[in-house]
Amino acid sequence: MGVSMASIELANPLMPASGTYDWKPGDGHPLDPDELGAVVTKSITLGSRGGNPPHRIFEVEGAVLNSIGIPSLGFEAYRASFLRPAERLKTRVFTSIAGFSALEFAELCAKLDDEPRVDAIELNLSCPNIETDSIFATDEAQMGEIVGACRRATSKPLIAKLSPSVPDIAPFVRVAEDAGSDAVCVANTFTGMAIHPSLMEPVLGNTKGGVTGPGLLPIILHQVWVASGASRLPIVASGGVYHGTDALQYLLAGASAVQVGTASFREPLALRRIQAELKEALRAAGLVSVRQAIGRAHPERRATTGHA
Amino acid sequence: MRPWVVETGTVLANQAVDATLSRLTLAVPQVARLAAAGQFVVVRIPRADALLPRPFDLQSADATSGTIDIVYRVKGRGTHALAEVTHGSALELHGPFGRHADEVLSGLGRIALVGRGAGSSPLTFLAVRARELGIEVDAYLSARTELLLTPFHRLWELTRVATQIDDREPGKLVTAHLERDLERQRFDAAFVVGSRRLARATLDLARRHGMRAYTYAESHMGCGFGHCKGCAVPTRRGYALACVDGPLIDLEEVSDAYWAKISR
Repeated sequence: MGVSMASIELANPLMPASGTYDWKPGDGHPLDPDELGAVVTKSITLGSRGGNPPHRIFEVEGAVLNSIGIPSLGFEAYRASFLRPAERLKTRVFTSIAGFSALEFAELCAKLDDEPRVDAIELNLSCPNIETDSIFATDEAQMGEIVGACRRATSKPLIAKLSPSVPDIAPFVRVAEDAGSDAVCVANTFTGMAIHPSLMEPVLGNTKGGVTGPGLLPIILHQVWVASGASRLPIVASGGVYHGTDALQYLLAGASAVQVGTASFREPLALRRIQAELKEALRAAGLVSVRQAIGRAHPERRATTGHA
Repeated sequence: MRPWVVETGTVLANQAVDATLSRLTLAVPQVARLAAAGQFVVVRIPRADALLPRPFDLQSADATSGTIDIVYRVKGRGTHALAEVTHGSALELHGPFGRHADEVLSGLGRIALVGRGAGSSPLTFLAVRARELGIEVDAYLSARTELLLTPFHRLWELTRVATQIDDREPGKLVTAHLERDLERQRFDAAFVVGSRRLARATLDLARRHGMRAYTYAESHMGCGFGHCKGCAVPTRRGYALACVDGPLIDLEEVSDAYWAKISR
């Protein structure tokens, strides 16, 4: 089940999507972080933030809306409460970061550069729920500036988390590559909302939120497919994974790793089950390794990664 | 955080009291052994299209029989689907979560329990635990109809219960009974659940009579165990999470924004 991505060896390709598995020592969660290909942390910010007013999460027919707003204890608290205890984990640690300017992103990268426990930095360029005028990863110039600043601030592997809310994701993958990112994560959530029919006001405290759930799979799968053809950067896929065959589809489209988010709320052991199912799905497809699956359905990816 | 488990239980009973209220009894031995008064569980609604699980306060948990009871309001998509679950079905849940009521019960001499509708559910567990600790308990229950009080019959065995039924006394608040009792009896704390209107009235009484007032925070929840940060409760010190900082919270801690959502 092992896979290599941006020079990081993962024991398996499955990991939580940022913000859905916030491991702390002694939190009682029955899923051992060392079962995961990597622990991806909730996005941290330089200073502390409270997050958005309730309601923050809401289920609609076919999707979940969330508008958490990145509550964060700030970098120093993160170092003490997570990075120190994480020293005893065997799995990889991907730290997700969020900022409000290229400068803030770069400052966080510089701080994380000194942290041996951090194996990669996921740049949250695409949160729909914070008080910026626009989502960074829907503006090529802005995104390139941030990724470039991060690249200059750290030698750690960078994973640019892209927004799905763009007409064509290919140019954004190229911008990430040109600015020095080592991988891309495709993708964050779409922006959506719900209105309470009798109260006649938005359900979410922040009006809008991120749309997640199983319906995202075919949409993001296509974006992964497009990203695969657009560059040679490794891809971390994220969106609508509930089953091992969902994860396999992402691998076949060219992803090297696959994140699971919303599924873990109703089923805290979803990542364990999906890992077992992926193993079985690979076997059923006659594949002996995850590496063999990556890009196998994609003509251009196959050519660039040397699969027969 | 205390240990919690993911466990698949068996439905022993899932009975409708009326179209709006049901009572669920589950054989779920590990959860029943771990659970304490004040805590809740998160139930996976057994339908592929139910994407978030639903949190429910525990009415009771019995380690010996390995069972738990939940009284729930049949209101939205999730609880309507839950109401369809039949006797003998498997049901997956995780928990128990939240603070133990012992954290606030210890040292108290007499408490008042104030509940409205399905919200009265956790008060039974609280009353049982309080009696075990030697605490005097009085209960004040409110409901739309008398029938809706039937799931809480055990409270009558444990303590004196005053009631207010909308059918008979429209517009009256059950806290009027508590107010009357406070004239002659000291209470150290009141626990109010199921109605923010009653919570507001109870907090006002608490301030006048020098008692604490606690509620079970209600919130839309994603996971139950503190990872998704979805169940924010506005407090004077910023947002608390109902799942790990609660569900029992001191009403003096909540901020004006909490009361602004009074109709929800």
